[in-house]
Amino acid sequence: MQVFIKSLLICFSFFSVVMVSAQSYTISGYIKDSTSSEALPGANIFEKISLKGTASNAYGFFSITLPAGNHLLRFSYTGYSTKFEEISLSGNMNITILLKPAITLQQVDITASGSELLEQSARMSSISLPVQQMKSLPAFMGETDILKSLQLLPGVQSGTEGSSALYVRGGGPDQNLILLDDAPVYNAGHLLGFFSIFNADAIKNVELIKGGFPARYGGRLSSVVDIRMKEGNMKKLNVEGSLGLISSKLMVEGPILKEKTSFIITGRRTYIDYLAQPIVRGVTTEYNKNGLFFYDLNAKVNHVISAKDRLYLSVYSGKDEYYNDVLPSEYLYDGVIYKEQSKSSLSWGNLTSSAKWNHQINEKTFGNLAFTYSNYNFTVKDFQESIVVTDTSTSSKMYSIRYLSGIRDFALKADIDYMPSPSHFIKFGMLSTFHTFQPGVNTISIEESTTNISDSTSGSKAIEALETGLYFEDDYQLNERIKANFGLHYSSFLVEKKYYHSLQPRASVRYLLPGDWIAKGSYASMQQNIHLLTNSSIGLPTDLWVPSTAAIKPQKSKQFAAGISRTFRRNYLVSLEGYYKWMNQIIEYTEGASYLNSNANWEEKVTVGKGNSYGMEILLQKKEGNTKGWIGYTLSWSNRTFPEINYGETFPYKFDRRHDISIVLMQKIDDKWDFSAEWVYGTGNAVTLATIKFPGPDGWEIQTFDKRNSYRAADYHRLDVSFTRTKETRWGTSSWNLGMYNVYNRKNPFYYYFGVDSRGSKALKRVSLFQMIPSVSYTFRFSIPKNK
Amino acid sequence: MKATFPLFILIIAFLVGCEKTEKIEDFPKTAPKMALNCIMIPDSGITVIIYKSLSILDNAPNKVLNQATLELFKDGVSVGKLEAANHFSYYYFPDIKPEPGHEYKLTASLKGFETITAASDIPSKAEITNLSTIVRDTSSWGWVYGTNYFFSTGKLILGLKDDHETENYYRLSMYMLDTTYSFNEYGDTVDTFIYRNSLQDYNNESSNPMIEFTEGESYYFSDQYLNGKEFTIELPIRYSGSTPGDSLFIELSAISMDLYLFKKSMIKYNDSQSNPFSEPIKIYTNIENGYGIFAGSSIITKRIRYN
Repeated sequence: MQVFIKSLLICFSFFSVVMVSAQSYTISGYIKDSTSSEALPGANIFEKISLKGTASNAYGFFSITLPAGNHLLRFSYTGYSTKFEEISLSGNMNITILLKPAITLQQVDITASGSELLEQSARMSSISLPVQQMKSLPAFMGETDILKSLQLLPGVQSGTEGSSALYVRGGGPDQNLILLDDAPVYNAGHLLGFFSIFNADAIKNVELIKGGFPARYGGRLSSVVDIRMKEGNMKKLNVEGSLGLISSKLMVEGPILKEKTSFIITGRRTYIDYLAQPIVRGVTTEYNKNGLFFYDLNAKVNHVISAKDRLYLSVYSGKDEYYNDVLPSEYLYDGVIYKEQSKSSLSWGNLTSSAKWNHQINEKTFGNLAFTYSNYNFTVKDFQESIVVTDTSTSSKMYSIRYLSGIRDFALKADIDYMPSPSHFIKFGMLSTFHTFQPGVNTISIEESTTNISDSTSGSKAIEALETGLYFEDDYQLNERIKANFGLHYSSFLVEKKYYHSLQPRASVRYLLPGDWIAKGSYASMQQNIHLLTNSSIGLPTDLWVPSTAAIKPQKSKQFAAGISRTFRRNYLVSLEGYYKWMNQIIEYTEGASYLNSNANWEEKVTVGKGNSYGMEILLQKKEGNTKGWIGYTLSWSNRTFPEINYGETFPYKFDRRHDISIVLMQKIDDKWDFSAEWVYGTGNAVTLATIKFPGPDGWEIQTFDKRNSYRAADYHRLDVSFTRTKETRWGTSSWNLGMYNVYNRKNPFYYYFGVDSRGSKALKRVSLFQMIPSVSYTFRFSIPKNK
Repeated sequence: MKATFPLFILIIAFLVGCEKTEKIEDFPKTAPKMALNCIMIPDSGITVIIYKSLSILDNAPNKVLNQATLELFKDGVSVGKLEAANHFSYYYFPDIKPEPGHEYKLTASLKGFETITAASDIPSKAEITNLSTIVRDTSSWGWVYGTNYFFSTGKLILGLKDDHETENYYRLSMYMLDTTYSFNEYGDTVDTFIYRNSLQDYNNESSNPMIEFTEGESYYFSDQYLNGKEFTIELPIRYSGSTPGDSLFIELSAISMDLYLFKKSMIKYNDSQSNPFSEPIKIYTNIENGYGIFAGSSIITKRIRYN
């Protein structure tokens, strides 16, 4: 800790010397969308004469210090028209830059210029995918899915068929830090993971970081998915809604006080339970009522307190529920009336909220203070009631059982952005999170005729933990060719009187090569203090978050990555990256264990081991124009070694995928029609299946295998297409989207099992889940006042 | 938590209404190997049985391989050879009595199969330093179908001196001899059977942290944390049977590490058969180029009063 503080002080002394220069002034302010006044994070600011540049921070704030005199500043942001500002600098300035969304290719600045390479960040393995692009991709059952869109990027793999879980560079689904407005999301899946919880209508920006992690992030080994909600339109009321096959959603945003306070609220609910009722009634009795649904709500308020202060309040709430009720019934037998009813349900959901206060401390310094709350819980309820009424008495019996597991966080986060000169962008701050883990509690209550009541509670006790992180990082432009982002992240974790801490160095360097090629390299050391107990094949809501304990230490990783890239005409990107990642102290269920072994403590069900992954990723992307899209290819290996699994022999990770290809095309046909298609291919997952059988010492047959995960499932591939017809009406815009998932009806494997064939012989069978599925959705949007 | 299982099945059934199941025709066949089973016990001849392993989708019945050539080595010196099974389907070395503290190696070869090799030592008998019981309560359930049933709970106290030079693994069984009856349609007793009535208290079986796993009436534990020490292990007793239960029998086996690991994997394997969500289990084997188990066990049987 002392080392960290000393390092911080030394760095400050150094930068104070650097920043002392005669007659320099600072231009600071915000970069915003001209139509909504929403801040634009990561926009580039570039001074064309001195070739100095910087970028706006997550809240659209920028600061650039330049010598006194005339300057030509260029402000650019992907998907927006570039803006030039001539500035005569004779003192500090505070300005707001409004960028217009680009409608056509011509409005996007694609002028080639070698100097623009200087803007390129030192960071690597990071991709920002515009939400508008995600919305134009073919969507499963018409539901735009942010996480599934990320699966199309190189280095990111999907799990089993239909799942929205992310497996980044050989890591597990627990190793992704998914942040929604700075609040962690612990289970990002609806409907057993077939849909992600994020409603694209509420999302402004999504950034995926696969490696070369900046020091400000910590707590997970494999990736960061930083999702920012829209802030709400400051100028006018916008309404957007859609009706789909399985769900409908509505978004309303607008000013509460024009240019001062805005809001956005979105909601989505599935109606599978209502649509399926006729089918369900056909296979159950008239007394049964069951169904499955999910909903989610996002809301955010954004308030400008003053020119230097802003306040954001955002909330997400989502829930999945399966219910099976036996409706009250009554019957008479032998003069006695019997009344019965039962209700059972299984539900899970997240609640996240954040309150953030931005403050511009001075022209060069920006501060953000955030308080976040995050809660994920999984509940099983079972209630039964029976009443017996005779001529002389009434007796009743009530039985209820409740199982609860989950995780709850309260966190306080403070970040300072300090931009002393165009050569430095310094960030430092802290994050302190108070976790409460509830690994599973059963409550049973039995009540008989109101006189005999018994309650009992059993299961694992709640565990509390305090996780704290401190960081310092600098985006440092050493010279015209070299730019580096280096930093330190200090993490501590206090749980059950056990204290874990680590100092995690991070660095990434960019070097401009001749011929406009850029070489990048990075190193990141990460520590993850929490673990996910997950079943081997499907992502269930029963997957359990647990803390590191005295017996189970934090997971650690080290990742090296290197690559080259080149951007042609600001529109075409070619990128090649290689990586090697070591993971230590990762956990896995022991052989034979599962979440159903509820009588065992979770620590007794897991084993600790290590893993490695390495590979190469290629991305060819066309970013703008009537034809957009990319081709991504990943060649990778991912292995695991656990002393208590496979008798210590290294085995392939279940999502070890040698080849992974994504081809994405978005084509604007004319003013009304848009077409998009995606084709994905992946080597089959590694599966463990019994391969041999023989009698054991007692004569009973044993079915076993030689090596874990030695069978390869069939390769996965499918093609999805979508057509969208957009029409301008007198009240706004409407569009119809027709999509087809798995156009050529590929029967991709979901799982395998041994059964019998038509002749009664034992046979291996493959179950495929989603074949060709058409979808249709209708979207409408309008503004008040109406768009001109 | 088990209540969630049927709900999940319902959810999955609900979701996979459009699922398609196909038979996989090209599942690779595994080359057959020899699967050898042999547990050596001191002062007894050595019995070996060898099966042909089958590919998982093979519908053929299990086949005993009785034409293999077996050679047995004691501390590296050949002590016996058999050209074929000589005792029904078994290979039997009647004159070779395994001795504790020695290593035995067995090779088996047969045309069409890889030669298999396995080695194991015979652990020395456990050294019992204390053996006693405490009876907590006894009661009678009264007459049920003409038989008086008795019930009692108590505790077994077993003191052991562990050999510090070796890693030791133990199996402990405790039982009482009890009688069961069979009746004709008139309720008359027509036959009686003596059987081993397990004393395991299933409600408290995991209460002793030394016990790593159980199988039927047997407890398995090792000297992992107590190597070379003298220690006491206490186990709860739960008895219900048709006799008052005056005598308690224990069987304490010092078993080889291979047998311990094999049993551990088998217990998990058997438990997992009813749980589709359980992680896959690789059955332990110490047979090089084959499957099965070749291991040793030294048993001590004791009878003590229980009252």
